[in-house]
Amino acid sequence: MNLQHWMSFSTFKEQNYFIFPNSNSYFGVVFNGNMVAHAPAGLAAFLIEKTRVGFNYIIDPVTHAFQHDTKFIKNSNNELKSSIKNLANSYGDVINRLAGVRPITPGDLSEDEHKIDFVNNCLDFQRGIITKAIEENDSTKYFEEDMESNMPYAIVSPYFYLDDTNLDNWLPINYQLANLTIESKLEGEKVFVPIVLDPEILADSDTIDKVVEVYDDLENDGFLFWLSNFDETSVGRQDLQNMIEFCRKLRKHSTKELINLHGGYFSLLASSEVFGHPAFSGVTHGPEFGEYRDVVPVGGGIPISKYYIHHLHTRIRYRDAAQYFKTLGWLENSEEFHSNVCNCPECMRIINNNADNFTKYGETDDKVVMRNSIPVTLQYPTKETKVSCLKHYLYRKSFEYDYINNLTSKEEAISDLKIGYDTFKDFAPSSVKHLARWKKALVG
Amino acid sequence: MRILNSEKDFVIELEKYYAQSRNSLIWIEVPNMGQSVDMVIQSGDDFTLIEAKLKDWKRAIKQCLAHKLVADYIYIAVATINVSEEFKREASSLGYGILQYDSSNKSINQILKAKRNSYWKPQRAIFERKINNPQNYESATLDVF
Repeated sequence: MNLQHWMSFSTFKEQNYFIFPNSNSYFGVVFNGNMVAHAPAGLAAFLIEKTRVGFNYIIDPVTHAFQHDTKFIKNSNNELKSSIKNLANSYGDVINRLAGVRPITPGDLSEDEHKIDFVNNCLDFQRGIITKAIEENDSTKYFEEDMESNMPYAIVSPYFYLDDTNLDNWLPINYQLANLTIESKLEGEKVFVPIVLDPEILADSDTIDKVVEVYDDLENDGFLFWLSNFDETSVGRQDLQNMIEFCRKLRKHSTKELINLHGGYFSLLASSEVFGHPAFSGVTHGPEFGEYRDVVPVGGGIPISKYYIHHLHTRIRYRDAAQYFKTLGWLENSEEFHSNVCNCPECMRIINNNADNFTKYGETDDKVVMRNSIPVTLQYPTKETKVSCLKHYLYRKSFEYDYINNLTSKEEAISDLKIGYDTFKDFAPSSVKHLARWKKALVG
Repeated sequence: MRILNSEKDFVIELEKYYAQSRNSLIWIEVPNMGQSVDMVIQSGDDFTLIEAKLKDWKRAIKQCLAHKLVADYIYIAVATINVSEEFKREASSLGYGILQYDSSNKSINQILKAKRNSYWKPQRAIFERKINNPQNYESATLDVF
C-alpha cells in the first residue's frame, strides 16, 4: 500500500498549493477543527475549487485545546478566540461552559452522560459542518451530489494530550471517548483515534507497552499520531526508534492505518516496507511549516527564507544554503547547480541559466523598526521569494513521497543518506548529524 | 577606564576608534540575509565585516558564516583580557582575524590578521546595493545612541 501524502491546511493564503505540483500530489488535507468552525464556507469553497474531485479530508477536532492553560485559547483582549468559541459551542455543555474559564480536567468528563454528549456533538460537528457548507456552496447547490462523497475520510474521536504527568488521568478518558466513537460509527465510516503525546512518554518501554495495551482491543480503523514538537532532525536515535516501535505496535503489523500529523523525511523512511513493518500509512506536513509542531501555540518570530536541501532532507536558512553551495562549487554555473543542487521546475525557472539567480531565494524587503529606541532593520522575505521557496519545497516533498513509494531496498535509502552526510560533513558537521542518527535508528 | 556593559557599548567604542580613520566609511548594525553585522568598514573597494562579542567568540564564529558570502575581510572583536589559543586556532583556520579591545587606553589591538575572503559576487552586489541605500541605514549610525 502506498504511503499517503497528506498536507495540513494552515492559512487561506496557501490554499492554491494543494494542487501543486499537480492535482494528484496529495492524498488529502487535514483541517484543524477551530478553522473549520470559524470558516466552514471558505473551506468548502477550497475543497470544491482548489482540489481535485474526491479529495480526502480529515477534521482534527483539536479537543485538547480545552485542556491547556486558557491563555492559549484567548485573544489579546482576554476573550475566547472566536474560532475556539464556535468550536466550544459545537461540542456541547461541558466544553462550552468551561472553555476559557478554566482548563478541562478528567473529572469534568467522569460522568458517562457527559462523555456521550461530548462524543456525539464532536462527531456531528465533523460529519455535518463541511458537508453542509459544500451543499450550500453556489457551485454545487444545483447539482444532485452523493452526500457520502463529501464526508470526511475518517471521523476522529475527541481526545486529550498525554504527557508523563497526566497519563494515568487522561489515558482512560481518551480510551472511553474512542470506544464511544466506535459505538457511534455509521456504516461506511472509518474511525480514527488520535494519539497526541509528549515524546517523553516514549522514553520508557514500559510506558509504550502500557499505552499500546490500552488501545489494543479497540476496533478502530486507524490512528492520528502527533508527537509534540518532535523535530526529527534534532532528536536522538533512541527517540526515533521508540517512535517507530510504538507506531508499529499500535498498527498491529499494518492492519490499521496510522497518519503522522507532523512528520519529515525520517517518517517517510520509517513508512517504507524495506525497513520492516511501516510505522505510518500516511505522513502530513504543512505547505510551509509543519514537519514538527508543539501542541500549544508558540510565537513565530521574524520569518526567514529557507531553502530545502534534498541531500539533507531539511530546510536550511538561505544564507547557510548559499554558503554551503558556494563552498562546494555548485554556484559556479547553472549546470553545476542543476546537476548537484536541484533541477525541479521551480529551480529551473528561478536559475534561468544563471546560477547567480540563486539569490532570488533570499531576497528581502527591509523595514526599519524601533527597538528600545534604537532603529533596527528587519529583513522579511519578499512575497516572490516565499512563493519560490514554498514551490521548491513542495516539489522536493513530492519527489520524496514518490521515492519512498518506489524504494526497493534499504541499502538504496541508506546510501542516499550517506551521500548527504559525506558531502556536507567536512564544513557543516552540525547540519548532517541527523542523517547519521536516522541511519542508526533504521539499520543500526 | 570605561567598563563595557553590553555589546552595544562595545560596538560604540569600536566605531569611535575606527571613526578616527578618515579614509573609511563605517556602518553599524548592517542587515545581511536576515542577520545583523555589528560593523562594516569600507576602505576603497574592500569591505571588512566585524562581529563584536564581549567574550562569546564561539557564537561570533557561527555568525560569521554568512559574512563569507559578502566580505573581503572578517574580524571578530572581543573585549576579553586574554585571547585563548583555541580561539586563535579556530579563527585562523577559517581565515578570520581577531581584534582585542583594550579598555585601559580605549585602543584596539590586532591579534590575528584576517585573510582575504573570496566572496560570492551576486550576493556581494546585493550587499553593496543595500548598504549604499541611505534609507536603510541613515538612522542606524552612531548619533542615535
